Amino acid sequence: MQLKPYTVLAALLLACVFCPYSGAQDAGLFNSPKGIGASLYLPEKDGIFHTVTAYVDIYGIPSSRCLYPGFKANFSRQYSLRSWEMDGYRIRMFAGPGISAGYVRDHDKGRGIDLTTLISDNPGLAFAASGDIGWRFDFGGFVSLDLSFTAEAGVHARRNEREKGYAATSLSIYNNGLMQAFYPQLSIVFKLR
Amino acid sequence: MLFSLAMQARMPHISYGLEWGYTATFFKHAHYNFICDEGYRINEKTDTWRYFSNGAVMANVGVDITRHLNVSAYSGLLGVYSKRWVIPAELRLRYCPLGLDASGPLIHAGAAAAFPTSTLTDTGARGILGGGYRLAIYKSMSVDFLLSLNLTLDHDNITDPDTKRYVPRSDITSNVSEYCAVNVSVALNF
Repeated sequence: MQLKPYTVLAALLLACVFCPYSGAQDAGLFNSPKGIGASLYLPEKDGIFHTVTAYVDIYGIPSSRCLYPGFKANFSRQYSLRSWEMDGYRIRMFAGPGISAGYVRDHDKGRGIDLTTLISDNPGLAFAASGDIGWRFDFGGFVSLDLSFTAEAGVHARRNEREKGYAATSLSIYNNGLMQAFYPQLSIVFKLR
Repeated sequence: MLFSLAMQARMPHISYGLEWGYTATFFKHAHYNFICDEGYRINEKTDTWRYFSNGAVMANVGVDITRHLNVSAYSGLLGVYSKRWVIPAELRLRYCPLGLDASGPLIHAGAAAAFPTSTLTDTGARGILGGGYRLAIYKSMSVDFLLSLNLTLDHDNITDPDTKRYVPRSDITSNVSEYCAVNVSVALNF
């Protein structure tokens, strides 16, 4: 039941990376306290490029408070703002808006730093508008590093835990989208072409 | 001049870095031997095959002993099995046959004392053995992709089956739990 979305997601990502017509210029391994996944970087034109990121959301997983992770995808339009030439490498700053969607757990109120309590298993659909800011460290080789931060403002729709007798939907602000805005995201980026 | 050159030749490179990853804990062996509240001895050995997802994040600082061998001290936060976290103090050797500053395979082995953060009270131990591939990025900066086998030992809080209270330390003869896990991680080295 849980594996099906991951299989579809993994297949889509692999298709994007390996399809010669996908147009991706770079592919990255996405690492963050938020989760682990992959990023695709579409070619830049006039100082604008687009990124597609998909990752498994590990909220509640590292401490074994949840057994299965969620998953999330983000599409962003990035604007190159500034660049600096350093001693043999280049730093480029970018920022831009985007959209996020996923099937994730949200922050369980009041127990954010409790590592041992089992959280209520409340996975649901999250939809959000996102804002991204990042820095690309290009060392001239086929590997570069990308450090970024993403804030997401949106909603989280899930089954209402209080209504046990029948299916009811609960809709709230997607708290993790904002609370995890300061979580660093480091992508190890490989040049594809 | 000669003194300066000699000093430079002897000055080892100080390395530091960050490592994070996913740990799949799949097996627990426990041996409890204690006297319960009603006065009889319980000697229990259990093997449990159960899958838990854990996370690990550690920082390290070390020295390059030779062009191929580095020794580093690691510490951070490790999830172990269910609802437990430890802070390790680990010493790890990393060997890169093609050189520490070059892209190529590497192997590593480490041993650690594991200090519990919650639930548990006694210090445990940890061993790690694995390998991976190092991608040299820039000067001494590199990225490692690692696969390791972890063995963690700790000491449970044993609950008395009758009173449901913790068994006092004086009534415990043996209390060891061993956890086997596979760790997939990424490390950034400077």
